Amino acid sequence: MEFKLASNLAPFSRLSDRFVPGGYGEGYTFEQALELVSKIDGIAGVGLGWPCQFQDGAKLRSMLDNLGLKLGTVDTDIYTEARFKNGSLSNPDPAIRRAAIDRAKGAIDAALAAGAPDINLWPGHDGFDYSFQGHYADAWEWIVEGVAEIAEHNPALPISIEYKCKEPRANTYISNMGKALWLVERIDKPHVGITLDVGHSLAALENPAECAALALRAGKLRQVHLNDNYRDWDHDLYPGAVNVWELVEFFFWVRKLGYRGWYCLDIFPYREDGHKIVQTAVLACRTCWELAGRLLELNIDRLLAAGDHLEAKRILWELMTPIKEVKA
Amino acid sequence: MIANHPFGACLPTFGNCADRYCLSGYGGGGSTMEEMLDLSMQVPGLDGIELVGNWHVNDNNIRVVNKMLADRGKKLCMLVPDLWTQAKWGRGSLAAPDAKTRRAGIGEVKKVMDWAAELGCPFVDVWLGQDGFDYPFQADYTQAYPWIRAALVECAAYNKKTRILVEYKPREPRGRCFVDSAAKVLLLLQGLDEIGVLLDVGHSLQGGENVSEAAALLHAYGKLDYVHLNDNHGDWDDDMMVGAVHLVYYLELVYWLKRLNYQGWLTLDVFPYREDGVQAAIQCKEWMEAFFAAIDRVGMDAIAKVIRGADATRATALVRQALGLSAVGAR
Repeated sequence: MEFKLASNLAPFSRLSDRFVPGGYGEGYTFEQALELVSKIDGIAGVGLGWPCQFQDGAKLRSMLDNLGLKLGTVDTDIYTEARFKNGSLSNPDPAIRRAAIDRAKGAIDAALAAGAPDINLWPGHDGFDYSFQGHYADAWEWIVEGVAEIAEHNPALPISIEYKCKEPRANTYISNMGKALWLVERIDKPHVGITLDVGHSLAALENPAECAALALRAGKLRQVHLNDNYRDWDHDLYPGAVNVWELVEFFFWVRKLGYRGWYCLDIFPYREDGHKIVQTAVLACRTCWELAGRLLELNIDRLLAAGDHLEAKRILWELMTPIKEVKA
Repeated sequence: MIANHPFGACLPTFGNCADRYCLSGYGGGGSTMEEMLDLSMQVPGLDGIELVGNWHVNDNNIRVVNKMLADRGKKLCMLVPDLWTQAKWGRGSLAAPDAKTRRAGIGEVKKVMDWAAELGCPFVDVWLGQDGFDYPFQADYTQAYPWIRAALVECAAYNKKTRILVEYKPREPRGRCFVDSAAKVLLLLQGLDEIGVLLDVGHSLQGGENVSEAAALLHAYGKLDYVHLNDNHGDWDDDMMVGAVHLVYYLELVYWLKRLNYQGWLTLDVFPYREDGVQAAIQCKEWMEAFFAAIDRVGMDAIAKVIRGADATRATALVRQALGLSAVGAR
């Protein structure tokens, strides 16, 4: 099975947070960043935002062709502008809801022109900070209506809904796999699926492997984003930095259940060298991916079915030894 | 004033707040110092403003800024040395692995201490937001704390007119910060009477503390010097309005501030991304005054009696009475 690994451009960008608005590094131009990504062994594609990172799909396509990069997805930008601060699809103002829907339709057109397999849709501002702030009934109605309308625009191009429990809102509506699945089941279109961001799943106190299994069984796992954190926030660390076994288990289940889509690195290395950290991420992901493959070959799912997880663990630890000799 | 306490606000309360997604800011608020200070004039009873190095003040404008404050009748209640707003602090300030960066951090604190002394501001707030780690195997835990302590000792000896306060916070912008709890800050400052602590209510809540217990602990060691007010959902420094989530904790905190005879500043550290900053500040003040009034209404002695009894059923009835939700009070 092919391990299709892509990256976002954040490792080669001027990353800021609320305390260092000037950015932790200098960053590169869009063209330079693409070229840098294209040179990293093990990265076959990129995930790019529209229209914040590129505008003309056809032009992008030829740029990527020249660099030997595939376009893993087009991310709909409904979150970098202040006008979406009170929500995109669920904004109480119908004009803003309209703008968000139109933006997603534009992303679909751009994705088709650029040759992307789907668009990603993350309604990050759709949620609430305070009690008595959100109209939960209206908001969910509008989210369902909005996604349904976007899905009508061009069924040839799949839509992948990304969930996240918080940030930039203190509470996000589409906050976990259960709600995301409820939403796409309500929409009930074969081309509307879910983006499972492993870090978002960990921050929501989920087990990403279990969530992947749920989504795959429903035929709704459309995209995977890889990163890591301490389960308290979307720190966007490189995958496997903290939760190693969770990552191996995740790969085990997505491989077992036949996920064939892209895996896109979604990391924010504020303080690290972009090239080095993506290389580290590739190594971490490939190692965990191969380990999961060995476990599949050894049919450890038989052991799980029999309830003998300790025997499965014995095999897992045996695979880890002897640890390869490395030079520091 | 808030119930005889000087009432302050961090300047970003009146600014255009940005985060990592919306880099140009969520709109609203002022963009220049003067605009932000003018907005602060609309908050009744606001006595002072807290400023941050690099963001608000620098070598060239510090005296101009002081005049801007004086012209508006505002005190400078706190100056925060810039140990975190620029990329050069990205891997730490007083505990940076690089000796030159640590030295630069010490220089920054000393410079701001001099400014504070000159401008009649009694405190500087050393918040070590960039000192911590994101990844396992990234930090040398045995060196970090001695470096921070030695730096603080050196700075405190440098200018005795300004008292250094250390502000603790569990995380952000680092995945994990070194100085992350009331107990750890006391450990860090053991035996250093000349250095105090800034208790940020939201940081305490984010760290899973009961903020009243943290206040009492700091007070027991003579280190409850200054209080930042804000609220969150208990897992992150959301910097929301006072009482938005932790209503009962705030009620309890106000009781303990009175009981500990805390006389210092009550300063807002809120980030009203989506709210009008002036209205947010007014709401925070109204809540604090309501809490003080509620405690007065029930009475310090009556509350002390309930606490001595250690009976949670009476404690919960007391909360209801204090909030005016029950005719039946604490017996």
